[in-house]
Amino acid sequence: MRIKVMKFGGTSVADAPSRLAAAMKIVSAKEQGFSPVVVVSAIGRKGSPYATDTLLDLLRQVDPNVEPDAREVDLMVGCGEIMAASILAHTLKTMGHAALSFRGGQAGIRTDGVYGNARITRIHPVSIERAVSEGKIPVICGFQGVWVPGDGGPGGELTTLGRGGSDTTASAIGAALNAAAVEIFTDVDGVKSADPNFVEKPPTLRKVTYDEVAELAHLGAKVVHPRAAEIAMNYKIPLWVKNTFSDDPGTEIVEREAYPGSRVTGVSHTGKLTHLAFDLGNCKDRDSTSIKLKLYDLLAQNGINLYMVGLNPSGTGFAVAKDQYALVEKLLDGLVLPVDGRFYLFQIGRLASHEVMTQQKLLAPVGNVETIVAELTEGCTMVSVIGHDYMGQPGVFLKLLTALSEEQIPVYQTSDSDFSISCLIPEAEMRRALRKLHDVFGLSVTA
Amino acid sequence: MAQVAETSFEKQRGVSSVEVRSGYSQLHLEELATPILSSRLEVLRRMNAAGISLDFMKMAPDGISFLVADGQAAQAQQALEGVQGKLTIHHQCSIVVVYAVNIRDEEGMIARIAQEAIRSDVDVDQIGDMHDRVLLVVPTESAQRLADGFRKAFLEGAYAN
Repeated sequence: MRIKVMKFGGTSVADAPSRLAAAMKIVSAKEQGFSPVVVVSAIGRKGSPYATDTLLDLLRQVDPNVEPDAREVDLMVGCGEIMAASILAHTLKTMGHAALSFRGGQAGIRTDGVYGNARITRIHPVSIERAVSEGKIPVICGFQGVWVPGDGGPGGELTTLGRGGSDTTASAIGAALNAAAVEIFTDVDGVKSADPNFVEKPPTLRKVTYDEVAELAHLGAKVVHPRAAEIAMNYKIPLWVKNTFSDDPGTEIVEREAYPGSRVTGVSHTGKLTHLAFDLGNCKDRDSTSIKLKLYDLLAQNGINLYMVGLNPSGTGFAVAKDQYALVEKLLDGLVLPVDGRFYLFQIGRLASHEVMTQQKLLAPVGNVETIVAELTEGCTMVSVIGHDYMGQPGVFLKLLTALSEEQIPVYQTSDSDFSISCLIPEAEMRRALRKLHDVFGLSVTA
Repeated sequence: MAQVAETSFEKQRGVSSVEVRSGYSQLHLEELATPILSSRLEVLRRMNAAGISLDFMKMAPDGISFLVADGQAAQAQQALEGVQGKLTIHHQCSIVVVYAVNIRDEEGMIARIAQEAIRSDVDVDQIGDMHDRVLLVVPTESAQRLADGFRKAFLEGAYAN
């Protein structure tokens, strides 16, 4: 029996016509001799009545000042996938195909106990195997599993898997069932060389490696999550990204060894970023090290994700996502660090805030206060060129910077790795930058 | 149907390994002529014409720096002859690579790596990252010490799984 795991995202189960399209794909796989095992996300995207964010809002609206417990959040958002699984299973039944919906725990998915960001530890898919052997189509809730605490509480605790959760469920179930393939269905034809919202008609990539898709995903192109790709690669399960609403063959994601060669894969962009640069030139050398240590400890403790970190003897800098900037500002603006009898006061931006002025007044009688002003660059984004065995080739940086220079797009900073080169640019220039880079790196003709 | 036992899946989160790649030289060009953008592009044009690969390019207010393979440093220096500005070459550079699956999704992880790098008191000239690793350019003489510090902190110590 050849099992095919088919995962359908929120838009593929958003309404009756979409669910019918998804069901037709499932039936088609069955007619081709596969035993389909289906994984679903919650119904619709942000703003939809049963989408994950909407359900979460139900809790938050109780009292916006009280953060709900992670356990309650998991139980609430887990309902989205339960509804999707149930309604898709029933849709299949109305089409004459026996189907059974399963919660993550019922499908045998066990996780660690980290609510909201659980990691799958093991899968014992006996109920799924039984359904398949009886000729039924299992429809499994993505994004969730069960944590069974050491004391063996009855039923276990529902946990959710965090980012990329439903994709991860699909790959893990595929691995557990030794599936012939895992197919991630979405509303685009596959992995594109750029975001179609910004670059006109970017081609669908027919084949990419795990590393390339992981870079694309982390740098903004979230078609399939790297966690899912990683599992599929480790267990050597063929992984595809396909469109629920078309017959396009989609994108195959393969191991590095299966697709060698030098190539540019795509261009990508992050969301809005804010860059902060701290000039520590006026601090004593030893103080500068202590300040940087405390600064990064504070950022780590508060779970801030950093981009383009720069460290040098006279300062440090980094970029943060706009949605984390408010927290960074709250942490750092007006922060006072005592170091060896001296006081360092952090000020974000050139204008002193109320917090900074208050601290200045409080510290005035003490004296020996040095203000560290962080230069703030708001409204940035990071555009990236992603490639395979390409970044080290002569002329890549030249091509990239020349292209942006021709468009008179300022580049604040660059960062590179084995698979990507990224440039920090004004967010307002992002669309032009993506189009230009897509063009000069010859991606429009990659089909 | 194949017999499937309980199976483990996702890798442990957090740092999984640390490695050192050696054999690089870093070229710093300062006091380039204005307009600075044209001067930087001229530097890159010369590197391209000489067929030299570069990594870890970093822009400074009055210049540019990048990494080349040690074996290409002399050729790079030759290619840059006549460029207005001050060229400094640091031979014996290494890249310390810290691996952690989905590192950019692990909240605070890159900040923690930066903190440990600062604690080790090693001059870190550049930091890059990709989906499963952070790369730090450092003098070769300090690279092993930095790598050991990372191993101690992330594989054995306070932040180990």
